[in-house]
Amino acid sequence: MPYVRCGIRQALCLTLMAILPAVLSLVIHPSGPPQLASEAPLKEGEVTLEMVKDWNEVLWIDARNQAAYDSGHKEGAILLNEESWQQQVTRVFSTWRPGQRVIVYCDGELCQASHAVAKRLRESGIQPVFVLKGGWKELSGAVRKKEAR
Amino acid sequence: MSPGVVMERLAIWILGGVFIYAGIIKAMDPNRFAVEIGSFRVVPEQVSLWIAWYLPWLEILAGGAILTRPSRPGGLTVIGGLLLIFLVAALSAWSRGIDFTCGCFGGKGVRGGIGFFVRDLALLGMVSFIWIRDRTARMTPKEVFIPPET
Repeated sequence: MPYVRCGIRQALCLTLMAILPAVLSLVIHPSGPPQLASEAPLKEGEVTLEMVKDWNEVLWIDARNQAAYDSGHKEGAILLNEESWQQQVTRVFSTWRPGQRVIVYCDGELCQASHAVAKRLRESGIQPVFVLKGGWKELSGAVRKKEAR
Repeated sequence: MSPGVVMERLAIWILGGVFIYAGIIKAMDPNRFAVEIGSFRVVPEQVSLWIAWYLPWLEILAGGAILTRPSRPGGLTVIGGLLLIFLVAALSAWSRGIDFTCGCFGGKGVRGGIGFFVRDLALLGMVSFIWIRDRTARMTPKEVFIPPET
């Protein structure tokens, strides 16, 4: 037991000691102050719902898993995720027309699946491909707002 | 040097090195790491942001602590605790069908999968191995029976 007690005591010290460099980095870190992903500036290839509201004939791609897609998705969106890429990508190629804008979305700001799927689509020759910032969280929120009106 | 000692030292350097490296990489881009934490959807976005600015430093300190013998028990306790937390968070995300990224090495985060669990369990195995060896080594002198001088 003395070893366990010693370990816990030292662990508490380490936990407290880590606060100091963390606070220092908050002040002097080159990337600036903490920034929520939802408030972060748009990354390359990202679009907001506001930006795309006037776009016509967009091909929507849902990069979430089958269960999430079945529980609700953007009208006309095609399911395409990395796990079932081979089976699902043929439908994308048969639907997409050259020049047509493609927008990929996943759960929200924090998921990475939409970026991964968009990258693979670009590599497959589909252009232009965008990623919806905020993903399904943003899309479903917009639908709810529309229904409330 | 016995094979047990060689293995122990190797495990100490691997574990310490992995945590110091992972901590430095994440401390360089904490906002990015916050996104990786958020992908587990275990804590609110605001909380994940503060964790991202604190956790890398704890990893660096804990990794350094296990490299020195006096502070090894504390380093092992922190690293063992962190690995258990990562494992529970990943299992929780996986069981909910959430697409999460490991975030273990900052921007080089890989999609969570079986590889994540294998690596986490391997590191936990190393922690247990070092913990048992270190604890035994510290207890031995007290346990040795020294007959009283007559």
